[in-house]
Amino acid sequence: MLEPKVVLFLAAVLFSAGLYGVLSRRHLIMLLMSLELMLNAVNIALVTFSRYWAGEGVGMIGAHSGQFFTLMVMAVAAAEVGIGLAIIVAVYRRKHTADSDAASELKG
Amino acid sequence: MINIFNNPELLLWAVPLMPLFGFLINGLFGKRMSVASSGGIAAAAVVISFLCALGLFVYHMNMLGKETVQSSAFTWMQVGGFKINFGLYLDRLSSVYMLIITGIGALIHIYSIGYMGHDEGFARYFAYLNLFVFAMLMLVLGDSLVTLFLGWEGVGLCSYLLIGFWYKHLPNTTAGMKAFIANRVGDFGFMVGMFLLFWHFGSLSYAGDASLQSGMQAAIASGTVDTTLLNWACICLFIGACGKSAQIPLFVWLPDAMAGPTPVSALIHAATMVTAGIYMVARMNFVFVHAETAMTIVAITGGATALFAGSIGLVQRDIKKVLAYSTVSQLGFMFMAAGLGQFHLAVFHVFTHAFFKALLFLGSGSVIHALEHSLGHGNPDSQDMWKMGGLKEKLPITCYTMFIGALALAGIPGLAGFFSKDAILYSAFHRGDTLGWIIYGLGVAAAICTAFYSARLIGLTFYGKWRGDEHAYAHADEAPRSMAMPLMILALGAIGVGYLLLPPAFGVHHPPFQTWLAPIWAAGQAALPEGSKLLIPVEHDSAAIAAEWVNIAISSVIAFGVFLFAFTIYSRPANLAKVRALAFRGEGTDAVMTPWYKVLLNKYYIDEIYDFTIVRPTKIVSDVLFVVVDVIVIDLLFVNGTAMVVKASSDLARRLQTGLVRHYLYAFATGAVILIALFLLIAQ
Amino acid sequence: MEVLFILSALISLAGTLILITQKNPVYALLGLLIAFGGSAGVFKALDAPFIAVSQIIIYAGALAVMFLFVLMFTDTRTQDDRLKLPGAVGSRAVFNPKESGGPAKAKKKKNEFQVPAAVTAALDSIQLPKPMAMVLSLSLLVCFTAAIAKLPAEFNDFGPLPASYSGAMFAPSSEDGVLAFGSTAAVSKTIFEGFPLAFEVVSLLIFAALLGAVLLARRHLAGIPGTQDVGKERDHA
Repeated sequence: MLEPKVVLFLAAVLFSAGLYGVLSRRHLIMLLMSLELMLNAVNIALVTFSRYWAGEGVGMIGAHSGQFFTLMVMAVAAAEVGIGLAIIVAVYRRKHTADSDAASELKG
Repeated sequence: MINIFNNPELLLWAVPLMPLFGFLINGLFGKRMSVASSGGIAAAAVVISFLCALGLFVYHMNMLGKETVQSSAFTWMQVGGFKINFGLYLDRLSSVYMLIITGIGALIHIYSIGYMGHDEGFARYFAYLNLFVFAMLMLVLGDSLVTLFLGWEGVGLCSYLLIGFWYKHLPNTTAGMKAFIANRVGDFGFMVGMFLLFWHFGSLSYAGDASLQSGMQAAIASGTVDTTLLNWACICLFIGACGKSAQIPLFVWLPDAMAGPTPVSALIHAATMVTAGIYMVARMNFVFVHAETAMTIVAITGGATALFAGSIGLVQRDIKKVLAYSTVSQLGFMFMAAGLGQFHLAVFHVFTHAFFKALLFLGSGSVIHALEHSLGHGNPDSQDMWKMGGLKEKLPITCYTMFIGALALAGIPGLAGFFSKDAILYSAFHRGDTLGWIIYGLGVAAAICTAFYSARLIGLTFYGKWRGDEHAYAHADEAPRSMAMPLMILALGAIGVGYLLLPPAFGVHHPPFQTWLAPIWAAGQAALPEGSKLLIPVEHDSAAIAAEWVNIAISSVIAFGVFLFAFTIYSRPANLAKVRALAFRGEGTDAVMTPWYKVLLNKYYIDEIYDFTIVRPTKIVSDVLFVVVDVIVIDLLFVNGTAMVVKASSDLARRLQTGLVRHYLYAFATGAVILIALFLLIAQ
Repeated sequence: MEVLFILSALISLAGTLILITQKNPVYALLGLLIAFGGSAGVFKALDAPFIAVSQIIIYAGALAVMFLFVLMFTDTRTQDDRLKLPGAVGSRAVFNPKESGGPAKAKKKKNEFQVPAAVTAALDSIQLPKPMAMVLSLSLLVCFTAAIAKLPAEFNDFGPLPASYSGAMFAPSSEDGVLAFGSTAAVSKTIFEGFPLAFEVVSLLIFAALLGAVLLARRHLAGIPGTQDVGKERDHA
């Protein structure tokens, strides 16, 4: 079972599920959570490739770059959640709700 | 310092770059600087530039005997085989111009500190002036016609900016625009000329390996000189020169350009910029000598302009207008010389004219400055010679220096103007064919006008009785030292510089000015056939020298006679009434102008003729175009039509913008999925 | 490793299921945590222990707490089912008990096996799948699956780790300079020898995000809309 294609498939499933969550939710916090799940799925794919290339003789830095980028994704995700949650708080103050449909000022 | 001095290329770059730095400093920080620092920086920049030019000229070109100094900065543009270097090229011709521009420019900068000190826009003024010097130096020091054109447009821009310097007064801005438009017409001709030359020679450079000169040499060697094409190219180039150097039919802008500050008129509209056309023709002499028709056109145009503008100058009341028409007339003399193939005489006249005309303009500026004290800035009375008179008592330095300038302009023997003008007349006289006699006739008539109006200017302004506002006379003060000093230096020049090119009749067969410039014409002269009328005479037999004495005698008699005659009339109040009788019939308010006076005063109705034949039809055509093309086609069909289509479609499209985040998310995800699917399909 | 992978994969799938089916944000957050925990196991199974630990510290430790905080700040009761109409939902509607309704209370019967209240609430709050979102995410999954299937045969197998990675896992640095794959030392060497610039840039990004978050979440910022107090706005209304 522990083979690259299976792990990648797991990542694909998590990613698609995250997308479903993002699309189906109207609560902004839930939306953000689903987004985190998608990022996590990407991380899994990255680590998978990192492990795969370790056996191909690409040197230490080459083999670990997947893991390094996982860390980067985590950092970016943390920043994103920070900003996202702050925006949600701001929206909530103004609209008294965290419903994404409430913020529709950009309506054409 | 020594190293810079020893390095001719660095020195050469310093010449145009110093004024550029001055422009940048004044343009960027000028508002916060005092008159002294702003003007001081501007003047210092040009003075340093002059010293560098002097260093190049004296040390590198004369003592070390360097013929040319070149420096290429970078490739400006390259399109296929068309390559233009951005570089400087100094040879004997451009060295003369460089010295005139920086030397006279420095004097005029110093003069301007006194003249413009009270103006609120002095920093802007000095910035423009420095930019002008930079552009003019690029014009003469550029190593190709394209660089020349860059400077050509740059000086045009500065001229426009400085004519409309006092932009709050509408006629000034109109005059600026007139200058710009007239120059654009010429520039178009210039560009066509450049294209033709490039088409023929595949190069626009006059320095380096693949130059116009080598192209010309190759064409001569292979016998494939296309005279027709060269004629057209030269005519087109000359149209450009007509615009810049104010020749018929494009001269109308120069008299109006007097709306600018007087030092500007001295620097730009007398000493330097307007002689750019001569420079360009002289620079292209090796092409022009093959275009005989074009040369004839140049000579005739020059002669006609000289007489035409000179006769208008006879009756102008505005002191600066007289000088402006005089400048047009003198430029005509220069083109006469160029058209006769005597390029060195054209350049020599540029050289002497720069001194005495700058002197006259600066002197008139001093007069205006003195009168404006009490008459107020921009008062036309401060320039009206009929409301002056007797200013000799008040402005002695100005009077005597201007007197020298006027004598030089009139061509009184012994002064600079005599030698240059006489040599030009002699070259026409000596030619001996129909063209030569026509040109000679025009030239002599123009010389009579010149002597007359220069005497009239001095007589009306400085002698006789004061005819204007008493208060203004009482408060007229001699110019400050910063203004008087340049006048005196220029007066010395107006006396002395003529001796650089004494006629062969005086026993001087190799005058220094001619010898200095000889290498410039060498290629062109070598290409001319034996006995060609365009050849610059080298040997002078006794018959030629006798003919020259005749010519000198005629010129001197004309100059002396006419000058004395006019001076007697205009400097004595009693005679003025008689002159008035020539101009007007009747007395007082019933006075009617005599027709010939009216025609001259209205400048042969040239502005009206242009208005009727060019401006009006253009306006009518533009009115039609406005109604049909602009209002109906563009406004209604294109602009409003487009707007309506956009509005209708955006009314539909805006419904896509629901403002709901999830709708955007759906759109985004759908697009992403489609792209991924497409990518997968294509990757197979 | 195989067993660990299968277990953690199942756990993270289960967590994901909870996340996307729960209406209650707190339950959903729990699901997210479970999914993250499962992912950490997957990382460990893939010989990336440092990433696994980071995953737990950052996601479970930091992010989840942050989510919880904001859930407490804001009104967690969503409007999906209660208010059918889209658009702005006033706080009055949220706080008005008549309109908010809430799930009907089932009558309790004695002596009967009772499903714990939390479980019934959880089951109640499962929401029905939305067809459009389902179609999109399933087609994405199909795309991914096709892409994975097209990978060359080498990707059928991870292969053993080379001997050069046989260093001690938790030693700061082994004596012969051999580092274990995925160990802290190896990852740090990668960061500071391979990608120091990216590391610095990302720290700058986090700093900027910190400042931005503080600015956005501050209450009274004169002149900046959206930073007013809720109470004040209500007074105006």
